[in-house]
Amino acid sequence: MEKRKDFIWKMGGQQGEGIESCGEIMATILAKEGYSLYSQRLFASRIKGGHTTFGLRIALEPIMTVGESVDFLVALDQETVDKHGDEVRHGGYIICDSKVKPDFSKFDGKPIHCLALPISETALKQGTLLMRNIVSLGMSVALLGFEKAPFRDAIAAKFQKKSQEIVDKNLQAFEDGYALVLEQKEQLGAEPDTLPVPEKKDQMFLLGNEAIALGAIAAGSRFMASYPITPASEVMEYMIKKMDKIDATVEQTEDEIASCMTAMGAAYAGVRAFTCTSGPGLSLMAESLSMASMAEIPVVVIDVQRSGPSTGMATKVEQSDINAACHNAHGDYANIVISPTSIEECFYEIQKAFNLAERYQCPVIFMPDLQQGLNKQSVPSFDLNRVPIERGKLVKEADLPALERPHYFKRFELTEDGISPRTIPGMKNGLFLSTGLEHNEEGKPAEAPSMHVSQTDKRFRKLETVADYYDPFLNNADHDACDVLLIGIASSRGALEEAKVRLEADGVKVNHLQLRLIKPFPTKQLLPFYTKAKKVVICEQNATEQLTDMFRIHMPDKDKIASCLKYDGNPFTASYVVNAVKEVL
Amino acid sequence: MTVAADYKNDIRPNWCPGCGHYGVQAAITDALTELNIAPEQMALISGIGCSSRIGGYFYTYGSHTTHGRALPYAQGVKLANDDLTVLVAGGDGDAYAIGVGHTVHAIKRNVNITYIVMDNHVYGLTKGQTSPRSDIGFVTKTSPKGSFETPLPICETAIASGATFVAQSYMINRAELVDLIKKGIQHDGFSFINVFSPCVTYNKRNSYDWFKEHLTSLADVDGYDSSDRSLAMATLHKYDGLLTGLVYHEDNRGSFEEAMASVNGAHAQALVKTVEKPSAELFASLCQEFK
Repeated sequence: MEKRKDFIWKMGGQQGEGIESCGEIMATILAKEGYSLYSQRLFASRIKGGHTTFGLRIALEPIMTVGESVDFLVALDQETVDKHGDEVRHGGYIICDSKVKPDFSKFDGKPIHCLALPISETALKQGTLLMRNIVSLGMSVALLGFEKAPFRDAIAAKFQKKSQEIVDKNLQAFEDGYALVLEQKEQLGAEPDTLPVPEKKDQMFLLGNEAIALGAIAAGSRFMASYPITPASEVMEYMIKKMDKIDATVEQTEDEIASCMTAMGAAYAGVRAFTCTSGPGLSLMAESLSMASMAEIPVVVIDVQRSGPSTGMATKVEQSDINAACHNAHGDYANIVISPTSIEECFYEIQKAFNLAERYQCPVIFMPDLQQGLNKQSVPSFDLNRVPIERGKLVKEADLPALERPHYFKRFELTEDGISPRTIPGMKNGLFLSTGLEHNEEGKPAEAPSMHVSQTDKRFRKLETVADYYDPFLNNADHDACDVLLIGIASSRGALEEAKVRLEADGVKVNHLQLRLIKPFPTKQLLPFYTKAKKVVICEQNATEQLTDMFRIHMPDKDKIASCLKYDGNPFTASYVVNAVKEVL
Repeated sequence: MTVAADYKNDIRPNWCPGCGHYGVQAAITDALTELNIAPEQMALISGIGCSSRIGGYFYTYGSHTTHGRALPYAQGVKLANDDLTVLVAGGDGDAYAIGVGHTVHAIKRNVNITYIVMDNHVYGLTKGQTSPRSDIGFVTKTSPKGSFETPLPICETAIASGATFVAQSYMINRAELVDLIKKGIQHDGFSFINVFSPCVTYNKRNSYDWFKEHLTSLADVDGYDSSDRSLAMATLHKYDGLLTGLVYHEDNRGSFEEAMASVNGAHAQALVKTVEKPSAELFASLCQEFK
């Protein structure tokens, strides 16, 4: 029998019952042990109450998605079994409170092992139902066959601040849960498989949003202006928490218009400045971004995409801001839109976003999605120096020739590559005017038809080299010619990678590219892969084929394009993609 | 030493002959000259409107931004480079209509910048519509039967929003205005200066004569104390806001920058001076929390 390479463990109950903190303990310890992890939190947009689950895929090799079939489902309430029971695989396990009655007829006849145990009573022995999560943790550790000691240490550390009594009670709850499972193991019928202990790895376990904040810091940014919004707030919260340590200024503004304008003012003044939001905030920033394009201000805007339109489903994932990120600002809007393909890339690519902004002197929209922003993944420890700081044509004050009033520095000089030398306020001999009006090379308002044409052409000419400078996609293409070219963006990477493996097993030749650069569209770089594919399947989480339309606009042979759409608020799974591809073939 | 000519460029203002804004421009020039602020150490930020074109009429760093959003932009400039003198200028539509949310928050936040509003009670650049400061009964293209909304009492709003420096002047009162601008720039925190600046083209009602007739100098109000908040509110109410001079100031609050420094420690120097990667030690300590 082939040894298992990964498990999926999922715990569910009501929000406020400590499901997440229990999952956090589990994940933190396993990450330290060297397991590769991908977690997924499912929650309702409310403070307390409402169904919630914490899923954790525990693997020996790095993984990019939470996966599909659950091996161990821990259910604190009936709703968890009713909603997620059918996710449990053949031969999987359901561990639930004795009050919960799983309806096995709904599980499609799958042989599932069920352990109904007195979770509530066991917690009540320590005086409170609140400890049901710790009892469940003990049960899970016993079932999955992990060493108890690190979990005991973590529980002690977590409650140390409260009191020794609380530590002891939680440890007892953990031990009681552990014992419950051991006593019942024969009832299970089959001994669950366990994973071997991996070698320790130098890794971190963190949210995409936290990786973004660390990336901004690594990029030398110490200025952020932002407004709270789900699922992006963690970026600002982290920056504010570390403000003293990193010597930063982080301002929570009155709205997203102010966030964007404040960041723009700071970028104009010469720091690396950014703001972070989600769809509704991006809409509010539209007019400001149009100015940033016109005045060539290197601002970075992060849009952690959630389900829309309007307030939509604030805690669900979608990739439906592609059109908005490229086109929400009015006029002939020159900007750059990029998207990270993993939580690790949230750290590295945001640094490149700052480099792009300063090199091309325009707004850069950095677009992860909720699945990346709000979920944790184990990643190789970050390398501070992999992405150097590149400030483009920012001029050194000492190099500036003398300037004679009333002449200004030619901040908007019509250069061959479209990129002009840049000065910042405070520089002697660097004076220029900045305006959202059409302007001449010195920034003076200018409405002559020829100047508008020249300056417009310049603003777009400078973007012509972006796709050569910036790696436009993750290349997961190992065939010269293929049956299907799979295209995805943001968090779908893991599902697409696994779909590729499964399709290959069925004899389908699949190449996969995960797109990083969305605007300007990397036609030239895509073409070699595109032309040698019989079919191109574009996987995106929206209903309106936003990315597919870009292919239709920018690529030839439109007949070979098909799209695989998902807009139910949940991430792609490999099976979903496999099925879609098989329909196309 | 700087002289007035140092701030002059070669752009001819697009303001009408007789526009009050010329007087404001002259007063700002005088204040900058007297304070000896080098043109490159000055950023003049404006929004959109006739008066907001002012940023382009000074030989300094200037940014002419979007309608109503000059204040957040200017706060970003100042917080990125504390060494600069940051002046924001615009009109009553910019400040009290589309941008009023930012105005109230900028006042509350108290970043160390100076805001000069050229208040002519009318929209000029769009050729004559009612403004949040228009008098009741004022006839414009969008109030053909006379404006019927109550004008926003702006000095009261500023004080109620937590302002630490509120002044009002009339561009004809050149010496008073220059003095207030200088005081505003020197004030530690956000300084707010509303300046009556008549529009000769679209506001025949609030004319030069009208302001001359209706304005009272606070110097002539017996026993006035600009550090007394209640007295400031009561006096504004009594004179229907038609006062000039230093209306209110609070000197001990400390700016946003100081308040932030008291919580997080002060920056050693302006942020713009060090755009670089964090030290390896610092970065390692941040990463350690996720291991």
